[in-house]
Amino acid sequence: MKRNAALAAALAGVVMLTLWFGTYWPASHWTVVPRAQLLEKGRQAAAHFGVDVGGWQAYAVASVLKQGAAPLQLRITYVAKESKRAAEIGFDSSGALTYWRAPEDERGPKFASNEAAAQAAFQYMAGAEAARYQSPRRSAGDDAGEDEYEFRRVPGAPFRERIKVTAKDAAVERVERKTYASLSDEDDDDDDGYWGILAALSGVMQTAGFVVVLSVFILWVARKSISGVFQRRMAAGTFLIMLAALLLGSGWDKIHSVNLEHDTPGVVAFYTALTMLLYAAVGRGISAKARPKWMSLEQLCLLAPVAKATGESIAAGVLFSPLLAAIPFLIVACGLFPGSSVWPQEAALLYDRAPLWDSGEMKVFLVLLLFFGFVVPALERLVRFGWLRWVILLPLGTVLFAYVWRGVSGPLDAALTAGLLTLALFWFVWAQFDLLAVLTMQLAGGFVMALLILGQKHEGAWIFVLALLLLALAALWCYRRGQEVAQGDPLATNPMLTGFRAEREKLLAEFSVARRAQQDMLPQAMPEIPGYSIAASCTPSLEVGGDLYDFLNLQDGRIGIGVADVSGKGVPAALYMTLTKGLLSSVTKNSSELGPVVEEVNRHLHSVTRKKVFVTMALGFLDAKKRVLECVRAGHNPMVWRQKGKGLTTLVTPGGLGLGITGSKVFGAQLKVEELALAEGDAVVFYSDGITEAMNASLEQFGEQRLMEAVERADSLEATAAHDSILGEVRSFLDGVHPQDDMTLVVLRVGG
Amino acid sequence: MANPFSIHKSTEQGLSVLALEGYLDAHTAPEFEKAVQGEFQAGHIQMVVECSRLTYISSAGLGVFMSFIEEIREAGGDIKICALAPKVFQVFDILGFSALFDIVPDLPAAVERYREAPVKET
Repeated sequence: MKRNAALAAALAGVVMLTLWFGTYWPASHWTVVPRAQLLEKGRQAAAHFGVDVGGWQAYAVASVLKQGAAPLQLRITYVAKESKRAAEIGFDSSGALTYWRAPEDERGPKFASNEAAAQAAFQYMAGAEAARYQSPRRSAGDDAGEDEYEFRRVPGAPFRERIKVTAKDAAVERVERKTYASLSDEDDDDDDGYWGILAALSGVMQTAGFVVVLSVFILWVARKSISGVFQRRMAAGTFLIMLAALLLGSGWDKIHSVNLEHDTPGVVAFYTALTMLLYAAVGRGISAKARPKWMSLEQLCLLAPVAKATGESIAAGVLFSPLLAAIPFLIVACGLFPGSSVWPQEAALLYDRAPLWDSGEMKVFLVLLLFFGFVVPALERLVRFGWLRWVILLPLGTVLFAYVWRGVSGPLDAALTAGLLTLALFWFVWAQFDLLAVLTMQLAGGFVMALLILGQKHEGAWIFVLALLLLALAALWCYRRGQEVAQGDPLATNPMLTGFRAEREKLLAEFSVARRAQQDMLPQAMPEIPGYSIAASCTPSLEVGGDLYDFLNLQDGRIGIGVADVSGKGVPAALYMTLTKGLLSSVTKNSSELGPVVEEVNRHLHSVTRKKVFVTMALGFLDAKKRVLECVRAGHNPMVWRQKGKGLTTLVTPGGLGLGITGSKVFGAQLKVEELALAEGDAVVFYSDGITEAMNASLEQFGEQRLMEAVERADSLEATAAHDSILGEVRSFLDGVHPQDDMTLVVLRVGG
Repeated sequence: MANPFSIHKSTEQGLSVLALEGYLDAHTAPEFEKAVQGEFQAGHIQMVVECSRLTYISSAGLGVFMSFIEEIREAGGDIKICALAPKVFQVFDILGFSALFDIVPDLPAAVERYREAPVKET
């Protein structure tokens, strides 16, 4: 199911993007000047203003204006190496000059007056259009000798434009051209409309979240230190995190102001890594139930034995990512939200020197970790009622995701719907997979968008193809090389308990002796029955288990096949398991009659077991030549009988009580023997409840239905392959969760 | 994380009712065992185990029912089981408990059953 959902999502996402990207991606209609050409243009413009920036270091940054008629704004900063003087030049996406700021103390040629300087700059900026501007308004600048001149375009054009020149001491200091898409737009920068409210709301939520995470973490550390479990390794981690908190100063605000334009990738990575570590540490502590969701991410961070689940999570993230990228396009294309458009935030990538770095926005990763790794588990723990959790989470998540993704601009309902859809998709991936899948989806979604943007206009898209391929390879590698994570064993995974390791090692050594002894007691080889194939396995969940399977050579030439399960787990169960095996083989020495054999075993077990221990058993006596299987079910799970020829799959459920429960005649009265007339291709599957009650991270059981379907799917396979395929389905259902109970599976196939 | 389990004791027309809630597994079975033993020793041998809020039972939990039933029945009492959720009932049923215990839909039915047959006939 999960696999199909992921494939369907990938397909849907790719189809939507293919259909709509060209039409609705705003930047499709922009002209984009190549970077090198742009830098050269900048140099020429600077030369016009009397500053020679040849040989200066150039930094180019792109940003997107919401209301601009030419939304993509490019800003180049030229820095003189020795003197650290800097000049700034801006262009819009059509290549028109929009900004100039002269370096301090080097303002180019002097004019007769401030006004003359402003006029000269204005003429250069406006060119042939100069006649369409009104005469300038002058206002005094901030500094002495500084004047600002504002030239407004004559109204009537479909857009509004103004050119502002600041002149000081008769030289041009700064020139700025602003263009607005519509006349109704305020020509003030701080008009954010409802985005301002969304930003404020999501900011408050994020800050509150961060503060709570930090407090919980400090409390947790304090408690661990007091209880003495606090280890060196954790101390080192805490020190680092404390250092981070210190460096961050004002906490969350600072990390948000870490600016890709000004800080080096290293600085941003440092902040991000430390904050993620903090969240991870707290997330671990917050809820044991949430642990499975953290598991893959933890394994990856520790570079610990890579698990199969890690591979699945990464693969899921990659497969779901096109759908994530397609959500804004879906909103705009569906026609329900007139006036909405895709918000071309990522268009800035077009001028990026390191597009791979900028494609993933770190803030978003942190918000995802905060939301799914922390807020959701915390609510699950603190709020008892499911509906109340949703009442809190739904609006919170919608606003948060609407703002943080900002995929759509336009009416508020479009933005909120985008937020809701994004939340729903992330939620689905989180619920079906885990946190790692969520984070991978965000990362890969960025890659997909970048691939489309760069692929359309620019070279350099290959790096994103490569990045996506690498992710897919990583997923494959983890899946192939990975191990099942031993999640049910807290000692194996909890570094807090390393102190107990030595003691544990000693116990383990003793257990391994017991386990070997027990495994030795299981049949070493499958019986060879002409015209049949047979396969069996028993996987204890603890070191020693209470499950058993056995094959018996009966006196009358038939073959006995049995599976039994002792109540309880661990050592006591294992001891009774040994007893049951002994009883079974000794009783069958004297009798080959199924009913009496089982009654005899029951009598012995009842007389020796303590009252609350019982054994359930499914036992079949096979007449290989006549193809008749006699079965009993002593309180055990029913056998699955697959009749291939008839296309039937049934549970064989003759009546019967568990062994050792009662010594009275009730046992015999309840025990029924059922005869199965087998045919070519049929399969009979014996198993223990560890198979049907195997529980995954979402607390679903594998169940009889899935087992029967698994048996049907293995129709064409001989016993060993069928056995492996069924067990494989159980494992992929468990998805890395360690089985809670012993799992025993015996497959008998007629033919082959 | 330990799975939550609790027992609520009450009496209903002279019968001692143990209402189980949550997970009855190897970890929580001793608590249940103590409760049944307590009732038995106090002479309350007519018991009803009410399971409407029992979400899971493992073999260790089933073992508790068995460990006392013979003694209780010899003393003239019984344990009747009522209000099992379908999933939990399936566990009882697979093991054949329906042949050993009176399993009834609800508490009034358990009271009724005590009137008809104080000890299950086997």
